Amino acid sequence: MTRLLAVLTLAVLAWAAPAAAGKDALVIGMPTDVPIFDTHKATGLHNGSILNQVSEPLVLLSTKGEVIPWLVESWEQSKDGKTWTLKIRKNVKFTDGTPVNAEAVRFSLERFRKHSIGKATLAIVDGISVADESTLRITTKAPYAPLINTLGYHWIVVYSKAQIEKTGDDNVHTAPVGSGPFKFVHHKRGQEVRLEANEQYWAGKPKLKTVISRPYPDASARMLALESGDVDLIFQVLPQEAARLGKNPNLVVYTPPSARVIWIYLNTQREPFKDKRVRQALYYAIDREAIVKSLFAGTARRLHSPGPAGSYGYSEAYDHYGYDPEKAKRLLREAGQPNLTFSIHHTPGRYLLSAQVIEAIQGYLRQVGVTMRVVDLEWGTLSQMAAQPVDKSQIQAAFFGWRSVNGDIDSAIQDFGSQFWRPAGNNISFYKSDEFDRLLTFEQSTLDAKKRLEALHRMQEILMEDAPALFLYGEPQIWAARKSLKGLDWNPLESLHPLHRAYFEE
Amino acid sequence: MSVLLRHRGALVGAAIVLLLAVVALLAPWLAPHDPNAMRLGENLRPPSWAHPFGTDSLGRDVLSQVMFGARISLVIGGVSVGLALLGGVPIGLAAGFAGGWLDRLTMRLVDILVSFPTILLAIIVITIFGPGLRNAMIAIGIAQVPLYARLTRGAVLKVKALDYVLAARASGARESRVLWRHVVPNCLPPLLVQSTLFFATAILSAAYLGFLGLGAQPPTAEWGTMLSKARDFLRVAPHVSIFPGLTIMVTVIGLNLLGDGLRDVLDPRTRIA
Amino acid sequence: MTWRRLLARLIAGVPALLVVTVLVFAIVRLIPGDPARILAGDFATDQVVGELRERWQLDRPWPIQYVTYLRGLLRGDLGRSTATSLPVAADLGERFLRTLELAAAATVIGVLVGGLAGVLGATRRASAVDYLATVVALVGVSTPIFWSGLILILLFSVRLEWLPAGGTGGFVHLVLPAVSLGLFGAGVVARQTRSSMLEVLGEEFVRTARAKGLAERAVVYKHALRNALIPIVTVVGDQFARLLGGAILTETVFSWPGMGRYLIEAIAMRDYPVIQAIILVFAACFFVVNLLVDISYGLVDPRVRAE
Repeated sequence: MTRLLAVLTLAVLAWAAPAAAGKDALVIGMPTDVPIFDTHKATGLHNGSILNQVSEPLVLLSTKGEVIPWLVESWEQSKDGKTWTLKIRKNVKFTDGTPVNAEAVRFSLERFRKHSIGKATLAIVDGISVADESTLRITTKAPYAPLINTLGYHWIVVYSKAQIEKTGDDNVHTAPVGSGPFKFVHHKRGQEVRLEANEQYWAGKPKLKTVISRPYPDASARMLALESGDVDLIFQVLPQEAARLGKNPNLVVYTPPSARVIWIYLNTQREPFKDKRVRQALYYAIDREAIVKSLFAGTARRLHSPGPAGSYGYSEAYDHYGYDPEKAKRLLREAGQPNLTFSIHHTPGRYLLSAQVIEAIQGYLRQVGVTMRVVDLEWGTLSQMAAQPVDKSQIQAAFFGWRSVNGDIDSAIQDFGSQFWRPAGNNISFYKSDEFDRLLTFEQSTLDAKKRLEALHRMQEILMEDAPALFLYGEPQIWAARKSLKGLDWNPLESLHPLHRAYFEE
Repeated sequence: MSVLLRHRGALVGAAIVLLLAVVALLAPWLAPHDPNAMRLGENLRPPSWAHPFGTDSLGRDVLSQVMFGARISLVIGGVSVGLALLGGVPIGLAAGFAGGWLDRLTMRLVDILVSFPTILLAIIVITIFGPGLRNAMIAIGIAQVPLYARLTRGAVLKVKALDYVLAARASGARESRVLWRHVVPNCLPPLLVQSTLFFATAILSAAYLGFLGLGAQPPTAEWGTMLSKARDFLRVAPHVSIFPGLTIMVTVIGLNLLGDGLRDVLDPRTRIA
Repeated sequence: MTWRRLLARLIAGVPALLVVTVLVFAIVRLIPGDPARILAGDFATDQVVGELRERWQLDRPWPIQYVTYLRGLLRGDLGRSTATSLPVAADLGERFLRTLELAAAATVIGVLVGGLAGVLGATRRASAVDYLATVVALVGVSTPIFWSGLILILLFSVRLEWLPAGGTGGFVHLVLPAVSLGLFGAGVVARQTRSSMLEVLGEEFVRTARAKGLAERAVVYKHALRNALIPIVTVVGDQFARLLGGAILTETVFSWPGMGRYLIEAIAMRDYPVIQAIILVFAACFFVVNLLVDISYGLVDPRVRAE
């Protein structure tokens, strides 16, 4: 009888043991599932980390703001600024053996421009052509210095053209072929993505054999999975938990610098935000310091300008808005809006703790007599809405994360130029200021560093004064992993770099 | 001994329900804090003298929120029960009185709809009309109409078959007057029992929808909605999850006890021995 | 149970299913906006929208649309998800199995625990055990499903660290969600079992059996329970149907990749083809479960079998 019991126990234990993650398999817990394993059709902020292990971007962005040559080895901008010559790295192959050449890159870029919800990032691009086997030429509609940074955007990746022709454009996700350190094995929707090492990877054979990604939408479950050993690495750790996890001797918390800043765009061409006083009133009504300190346990950085903090030209001098509800009420009365009501559009689950932030803001605004109605939308829908031109836009306020790609404050504030009104650019606020436009043209073309810095400062002063958006805080990027996991690296857009150097230390 | 149990149960249930009603009505005066008052610096604090149920992620007092949540629950129960009565009773009366094919057809439909789970029906309604407490209450109320119709019809049929009613009809008394005089008192007991039990189900269903984000929207302090926001902080601040859920449980237990007790008293034939 | 009766039951249930298809069909048409665009998703190109309009005859009158819709259903065509542009049927199959797994496990737990509690309560009537069983049953019925789930997570995952809080990866991940969902059903089953058993135990034939000197255990299990089964079976069938609804909540709390959570995700993403398909599958499940309950009546109740 006892023997039977022992056998039964062993059987149950064996059956019950979860899929073992040995030392050459990395299991990652992400907040969302990959909806479709085709980077050009992907949505969902967090999935770049996994998707880009299979298909790679042209350059990598380091957390120090540098552009690292990757599939593109070197680049040159023409004198008139409108033509770029990109040299593709030689001898890189896709996992199906076909070469990564200029034509493959061109094909993928065009595919991105056709399908991706991020296609607006390349809106400035006029034409893409192949100069020779490993040289690509890109022409832009206007001079655009940060183009090379933009090409580091993780949705702009290169797939094997031959494979796409084989599977058909609609079914790339069933068997995607890229040049990345890992190959696609399978994607069980809602359960896991499984990748295996690409032994011929051009940057070096990966140390890991397998990478698995599992969705854990519930933050607590995600952390529990890490603590219990079900997963080895997780993303989007709650700030309140970061300290506690850090005390665990087997775990380590990473907070690589994030270029993501959180703003609330205010539509300056529509009521009620046509009036500058109303916009400023909102600034006075919201206690940004408290949000950063309490909701984010200090891990977020309060913005004093469009940010992000640390970028070249960033200045704290022009943020004269403290937490002053009385002043907010006064401004609203002056503007004739003592009982203001407006709607804000928001995508839940996309940015860390955004739902809490919005609720906190709702509370603050209520204290000064303002009712803020929250409209939750899926990201695709919100993107579409925000892409409408000024006469069709239904947005009064929108909660957006923005990213600066090149470590220079210019990339954050340039979008407020009036030539960048949606859909041409990213001026979701439809903000217009002649002085600002003048300064923008000046600083983007001048070679006088001192004068440029002055211009950047003045531009920030104007933006803080006019408040076309509420510049709230810089979002933290919080990861946690097993201490034995080494070789991880990130970009400032909250994505993992290629994991070929990752391994478990004995 | 078990009869005593029943009676005790009903008393306990009544006490709980009374407490709920009192708290709900007097919440604005009883609550120690304004439920919407945010104090970000004091968020996620465990229970203390100042905040017996602790504070939530935005520093709001959980106890005050729970108290105001009682008001909302009272409204939810009332509106849902009201809708169910308004919809179900006339249908049941019509079917029972009319008899014949109308009766059969109606009961056919009722049978189909009765086993459909409330939450699914509510989800359908909310998919069309959008989330929110109002739509949730309407959906929950409508979902119970079939059951109320069936109960009412059952009572009508029972009355129709009663000896003295048959006798009255035989002796030529006006049918409708006879039926009316006897139907109403016969309907009341099962309807009362059902309504008490349904009050509990309605609160529970609304909490489910609130938890899924489809019911009451923040900052409305409905108990289920409170729990949906508390999930992320289960580890750091479990009290935000424990207390609202506990309140729901106690409320539903109270209503169930009361309903069972009423059933025993008013409808002895279905008494659970 | 004769085949004729079975067939009659099947046919009788079809109108119910049809009513649901009408409801589901109505959802998309009642929402303000162009149905073609709603079904295609905000992000589809005009070409795709036009194709959909063609395919589902969306510019013809409603009855014709409905017939087209029905024909599509019978073909197994549930449309394409707007989030992934893939056919819904493919994903749904996998998710459905996961929910079935959860609901089955929960039903087993519910029936075992509830049945046991009910029998114990009935046989040891008015004792401390009975009191305890009654209280537990009451609590089980009154606890919000998601809350019991959260408490279980708090206890077994956070504090004790015995079990994972969700996700997939093996049998271990099924335990907490199944227990959470099952205990809810256990309460109802317990109450019904107890009352049915009590009723039966008071009946003539039981007293006769006792008088004949049969062992108490034989009386209880062989005779009483068998006869008490009819209403219990109803309740179990009802519970399984209810559990499918409750699975929506349990799957959300435990991140279980089933149909219920898929429905909530689809609602958040306004993925109407998926929403429609899932509601239909749920309805079909109820239909099948009710049918199975009817069949089991025939097996359990000799009076019915004799027909």
